[in-house]
Amino acid sequence: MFFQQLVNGLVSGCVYALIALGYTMIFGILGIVNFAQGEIYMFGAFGAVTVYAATGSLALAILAGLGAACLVGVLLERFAFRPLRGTHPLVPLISAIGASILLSSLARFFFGPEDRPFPHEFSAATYTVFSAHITGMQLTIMGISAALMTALWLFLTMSRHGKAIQAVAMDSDAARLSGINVNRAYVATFLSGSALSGVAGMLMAVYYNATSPTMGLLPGLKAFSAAILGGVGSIPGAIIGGLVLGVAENLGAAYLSSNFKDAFAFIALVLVLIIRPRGIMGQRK
Amino acid sequence: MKKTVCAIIIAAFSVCVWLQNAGAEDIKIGSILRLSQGASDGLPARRGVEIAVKEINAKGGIGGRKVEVIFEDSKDTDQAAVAAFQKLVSMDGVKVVIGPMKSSEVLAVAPIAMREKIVVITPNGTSPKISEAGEYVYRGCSRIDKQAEALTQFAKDPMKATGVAILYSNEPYGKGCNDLFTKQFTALGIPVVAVESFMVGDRDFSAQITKLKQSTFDLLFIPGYLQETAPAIAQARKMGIVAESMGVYGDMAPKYIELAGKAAEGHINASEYDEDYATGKNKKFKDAYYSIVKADANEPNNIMFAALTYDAMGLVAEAIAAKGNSPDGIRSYLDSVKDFDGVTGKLSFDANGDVVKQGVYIFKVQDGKYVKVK
Repeated sequence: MFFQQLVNGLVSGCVYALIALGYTMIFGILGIVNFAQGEIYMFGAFGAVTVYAATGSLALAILAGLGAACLVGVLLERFAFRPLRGTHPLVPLISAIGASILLSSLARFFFGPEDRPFPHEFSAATYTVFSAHITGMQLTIMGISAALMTALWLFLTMSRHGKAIQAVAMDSDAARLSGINVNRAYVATFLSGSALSGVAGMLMAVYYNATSPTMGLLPGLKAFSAAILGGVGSIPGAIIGGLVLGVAENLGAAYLSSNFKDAFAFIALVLVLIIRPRGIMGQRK
Repeated sequence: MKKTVCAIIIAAFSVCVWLQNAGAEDIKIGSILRLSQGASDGLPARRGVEIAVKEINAKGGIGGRKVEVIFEDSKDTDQAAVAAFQKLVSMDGVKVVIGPMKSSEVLAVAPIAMREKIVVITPNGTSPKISEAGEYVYRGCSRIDKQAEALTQFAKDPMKATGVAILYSNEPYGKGCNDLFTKQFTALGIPVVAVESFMVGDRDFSAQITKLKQSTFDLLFIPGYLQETAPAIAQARKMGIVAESMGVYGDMAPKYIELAGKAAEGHINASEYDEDYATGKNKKFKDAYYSIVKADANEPNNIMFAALTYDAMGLVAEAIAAKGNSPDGIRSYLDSVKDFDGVTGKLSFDANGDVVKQGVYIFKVQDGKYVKVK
């Protein structure tokens, strides 16, 4: 049972990690917490589900999901955060909470209050590794997550836009003085963070077969905890934080009590923060 | 000159008001439903009331007066339900309220209903405590223990279950079901071999299901709301659980089958309403409801909740027609009514204000459809 629970935990951990990357990148560059990250995840799922239902094409559905998530992310940056830059950090925080409520109400208005199934059931092939059953879908989730994390790392270290993001995160004034377009770096951050959350949303829309206006709430909160757990602002930290959180809650539910499954995630968070207040990979400021 | 004009206007206005009062003033009825949180159940309930009101008004209303229903949102909190109730009673002057839908909300509203002497008819609060909530509180559905009796009996015969695993929703409804069904399964000699729970909003049940798989059972009982129970059974099937599955009222919706997909096949659950109940009234009601559902793609589809409020509204209309629009008149009608022709059956009320009818139906999912098996 242990390996099975480990696999279960890693799969949900991958999703937390993808969303946590969005939180941590935006925090790293802007110093704000984007509480609407869970709603970006939700819009990614809805984009894919509605387009798949209309066209039956997986490629179009993925594009639509990515497009919807990125659009929401960019609109958030432009209208919820950019006008408030330079204000007290509490102000954009409130703005983010407001945006989150607005987005989930909008989704309820357009898509109705009910859960929607994914219009296609994917094959249920199962593989057995160390007595754990892993479905094709679980492998896909882990594979895509690993690929995206590698892609993000390559983007940030190799590409001009990625390096610009890193420079702005270190010191936005110095970056501006050396000719980096800071606004473009902000937009690039929101775009890549939103794309990751959007992919997470699409994966979950298929895996759990249920897309609803409130689906982003709990994963958003857990991913936020994952980002803090890993050390907010740190990219590897977000990944490790997500995985630790996913595994902790599954093992907690397995060996202690499933009544408190959500609580174990947060107990892990508190324990790590007591021992290491800056998070697992956090930099000392 | 000005004064005369003023006087005339005031006089004319007073006459209008007087005429309105003296003439056919609408009969106001209150309804507290789940219109935002839980709207997938609450909107169908609202449609049920609306269909009934439309029929009543098309026939000229009650004694020449039109019926007007004022809907309030319970927002899934007891406080909001109480606030809505107070508003309906003090501002709108209603004498009878259809709703609220959740047991905890009904119990919160009941003491005020008793104090103000206002009739409350809950369409689907199933808690046994509602029986003792007072003589002004009625309910239009069977108590949860009736449902438990029907389902556990069915598990024993014809299903011949030998061991049951329970995966319940960790909130008052699911937890109450867990306690009650555990007692009844045990009383019938079916041991409960494993119990796990999940939270409202959870979509990942793999930890719980992996744990359940350590035990041997041939019936998996999942009480809760379909937003969780449908993905739960889907994951259980994917992870290789082959036991029969069983649920409670919450699963009785096309949405359950849509969300669970093939995993829904063979699912057993109970319902208050049988679509094939062969009366002319039921056919008319079904046509009216499905024409509303077909007209809007976002309209949630759950005819059981519509049927329950449709009957509640029908009873209220009959009561007012027979005894007038006063709480005690409505009560005396409800207490004495025998075999009211409703779409959920032939309805009467017992001394606790609980509906009496032929019993609970058992349904099974076959080829993507609920089929009545008992």
